Amino acid sequence: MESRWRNRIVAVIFILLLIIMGLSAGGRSRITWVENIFGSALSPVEKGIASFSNFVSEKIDPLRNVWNYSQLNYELKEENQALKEELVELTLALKETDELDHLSNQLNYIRDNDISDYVTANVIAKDPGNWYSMFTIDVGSDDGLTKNSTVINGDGLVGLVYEVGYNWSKVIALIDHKSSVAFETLTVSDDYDGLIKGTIDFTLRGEFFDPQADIQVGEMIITSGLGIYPKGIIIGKITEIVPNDNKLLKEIVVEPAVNFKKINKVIVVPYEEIDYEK
Amino acid sequence: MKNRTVIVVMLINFLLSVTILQGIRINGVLANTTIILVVSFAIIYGSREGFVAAITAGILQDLFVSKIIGINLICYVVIAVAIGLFDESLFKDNVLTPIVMFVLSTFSYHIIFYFFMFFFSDTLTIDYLIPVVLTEVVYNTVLGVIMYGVILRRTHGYGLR
Repeated sequence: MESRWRNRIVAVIFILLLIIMGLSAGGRSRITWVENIFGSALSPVEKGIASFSNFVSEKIDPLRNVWNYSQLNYELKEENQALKEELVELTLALKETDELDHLSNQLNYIRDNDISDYVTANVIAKDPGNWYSMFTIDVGSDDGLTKNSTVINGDGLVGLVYEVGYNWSKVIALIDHKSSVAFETLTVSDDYDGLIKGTIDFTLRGEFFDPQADIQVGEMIITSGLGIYPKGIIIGKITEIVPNDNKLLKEIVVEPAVNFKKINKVIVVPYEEIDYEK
Repeated sequence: MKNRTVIVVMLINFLLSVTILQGIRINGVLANTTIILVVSFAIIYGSREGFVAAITAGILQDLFVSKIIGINLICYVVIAVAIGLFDESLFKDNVLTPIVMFVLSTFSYHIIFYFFMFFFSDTLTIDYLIPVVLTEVVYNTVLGVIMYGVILRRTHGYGLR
């Protein structure tokens, strides 16, 4: 008798779990208050341990890199020179932009890409499994975050907010294999559009929509504003153009600008619906 | 062993594995200390503690660092229940027992995970998964045998043969 009851209870619980899995797949826009409270209690503890471990790894890091220092020095000197040349070009371009800005203000065009309500956050936990690249940050709905807010870093785009609690949120990184971003190339004329997806080995693969796009290895790509991410965030640099017999799309491999192995501080931009009727 | 102790140990394990243990990755792969602890508790203490450990660890890992609620819970509970079925026929102080159990449980965890993710169209490619799973199996087994020996010595006073 007893074991029949037990089997029924186990079967019911199993079916309930399957239902919960189905309901929660894809991320929910508001999570239950039980999880919220539990997570809000746990998040400061995780934050404490994470900051301690960051402190320790910061102390150990210089020791780990001691063999590379002379090579690193040489590379930095070369990069410095290249950057100085670029700085001159950019200053000239900036002057021109200033003049055009002045002109557009006089003509009363509305500039609608001002992002002013961003929030800084620390990474307090990373996914301990080996399947996905998710991490948890220590800001939540109390600071104005909503699902699908963009997460960026000083170097570029990091990812997307997946679920939000009171003072913590789950973030999916760009390199996770379900993330996809619409991008365009960072050139002054002829910016080509495309779509890029994460692959697990820390690179991104994607396609341009135009198969005759004239692009070279080494160009930067940025978000194009079509879709969830706002426009103008650096994604990475093209490292390889895959020769493709299928002439429909041009395939590229991109190295992300953010070092995903060492993310500690991020900036979150809350998600706003862009009102296209303005 | 009281339920409280098991819950506290799994909580501490979760907190450490999401923060400090992330720095100790071999080739990008992390040892799944949760599997090690669940299997060790199930073998050494019996199915009740293994069950409590699996439920606690599964709930914690799902709520905080998982895309889909419930998947880790099912994986760990299946592992704990399966070991509970073998409970009486295992020699608990032979070194082969933890080795075989850790290899089998790590493979089962990934197979069940893949099975559920298949239904959500969220799978990784097999030729990425194979080196990751194999590295994790080796890492788990090596670390697991050490931890299993420590737990065995602390509870029963004798170590692994």
